[in-house]
Amino acid sequence: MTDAQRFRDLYEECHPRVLAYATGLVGRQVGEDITSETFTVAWRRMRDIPTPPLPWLLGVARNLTRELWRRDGRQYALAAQEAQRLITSGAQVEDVAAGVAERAVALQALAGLSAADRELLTLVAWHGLGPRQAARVLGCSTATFSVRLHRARRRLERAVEAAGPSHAPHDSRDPRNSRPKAESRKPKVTVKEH
Amino acid sequence: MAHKRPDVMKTLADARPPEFDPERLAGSERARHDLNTILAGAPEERTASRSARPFTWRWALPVAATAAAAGVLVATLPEGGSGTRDTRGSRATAGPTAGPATDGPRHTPESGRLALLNVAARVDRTADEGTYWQTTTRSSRIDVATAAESTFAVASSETSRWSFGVRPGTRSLWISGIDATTEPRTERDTARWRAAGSPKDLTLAESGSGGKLGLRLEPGARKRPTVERINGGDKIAALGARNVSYAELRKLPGDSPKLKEVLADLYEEDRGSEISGRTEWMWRQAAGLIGLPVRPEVRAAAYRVIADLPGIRSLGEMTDPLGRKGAGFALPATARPDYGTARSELIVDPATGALLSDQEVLTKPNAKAAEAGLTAGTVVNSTATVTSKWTDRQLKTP
Repeated sequence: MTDAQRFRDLYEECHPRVLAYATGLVGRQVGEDITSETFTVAWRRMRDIPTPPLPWLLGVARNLTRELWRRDGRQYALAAQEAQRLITSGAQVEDVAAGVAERAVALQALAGLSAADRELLTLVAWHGLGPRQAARVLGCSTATFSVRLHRARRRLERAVEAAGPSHAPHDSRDPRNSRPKAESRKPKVTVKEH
Repeated sequence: MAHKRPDVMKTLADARPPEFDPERLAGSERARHDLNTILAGAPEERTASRSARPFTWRWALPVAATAAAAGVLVATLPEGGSGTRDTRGSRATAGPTAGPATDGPRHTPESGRLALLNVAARVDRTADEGTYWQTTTRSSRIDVATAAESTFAVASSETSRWSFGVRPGTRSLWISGIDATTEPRTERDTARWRAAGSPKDLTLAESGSGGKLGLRLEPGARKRPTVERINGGDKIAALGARNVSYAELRKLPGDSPKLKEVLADLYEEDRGSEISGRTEWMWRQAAGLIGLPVRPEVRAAAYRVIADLPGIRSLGEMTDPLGRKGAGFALPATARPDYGTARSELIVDPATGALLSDQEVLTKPNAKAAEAGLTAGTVVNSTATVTSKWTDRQLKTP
């Protein structure tokens, strides 16, 4: 297998994940640029990439966002705001599944935490990293990571409690709720298997 | 750590907004472009040295709850198997080995996929055939125009009749512009257009194009239908970047993993086409196939391909632009430069599997579109299929 082929495979498998991570830090637009730069670095260092490669790639992406922060604090701040907005707007996303209110509360709570806490929590909950891998992304020991995660998690729990289930709305956005009862007996389209 | 309540980490994992879902971020135009740019900067293909440690990261990816789908699927791909000729298409070409991973990302409401699979099961299997496959469609679109600093919406509609001649020596025709109308969308739009001096040739707000190329608004003037011959020899339809013959259309597999493979290959070939993003591309091609003279099994398989697209969801009962009831399905919204963000929708007759409408619906208007009165939910573009049938008689040309 040539390096180019290996790189294509690496790209195929990891690009969406690096982009998802970068989007969480700096929003989609800047996230695309960061991801592009990350893989440019990866290509140059193809032979140095450890197994598994994802924590290494996320670590590179993270360093690149810090570089951006040093180079252009204003752009970074705007980009970070965009990432924040994606999280909070997720709290209003329409969804018919159960547990919507709980999730919305979790997102609101998350948005209220410090950037450092958000980073720890989302590495695990959204990007699927185990403690060892997440520690590698952040460049700390696994033990340190676990302690920090434990604390971040407690703060999240408290924030969720503060937002409280009393908030849990009966969903007023759903127009079906305001329809007269008689109409709701009308059969919906059923697409059952026969 | 003891937890008295539902695990907050689990709730948080479930709450991940779709913007952070790798499944949804895969296969963008930008990603492909970047890959090519990076590899183009390569000196030449360096051959990897055989290292003591085999390159096993594919199997070493973290398979946490949020990553399960992609991780499991990758692990089941046969190295160098038929579906992996080009690994960039591997997810869609994994075939039956994909197993539960084809259920897609967690946020996909299962109902969307299931409902579509049921539509696929209902597709009319009558294996009719004739000399001509003929369909009639009514399409409408809304454009945002500017004139003299005033912004307004213009609605256009027309009927088209398609006739695909499938026997040797027959012609394929497309008659467009039947009952064509172009007019300001609402009274308010009419007022704004008049205030701008009732210009006939309009400029589209976002792209700045228009004029001769674009929109002509001349109330009362009847556009004459135009007849175009659409076959070139025995090639009667387009599939991806290729023109195909009826024989080739008949050969398409009625098995959805195989059809997906065919489409994935065509996608590779068609890179850089105007439809950006693999999901939209697959959707467009699969939806297009449903209206072509393919075997009923292929129509059913096309619905199954759509059912497996990431982020597909069910919209429940809907009314199409011609007032017919059907079951609606949608892809996640994406940016549409002329309007803001919009999503692609299909409305299907759940009883027969007939495709009623293929449409784009605004989810968030940009500034110009909002100024022109478009709102979330406005259908900006639609093609409703009025009839489709086999016949032995060619269309009469007007």
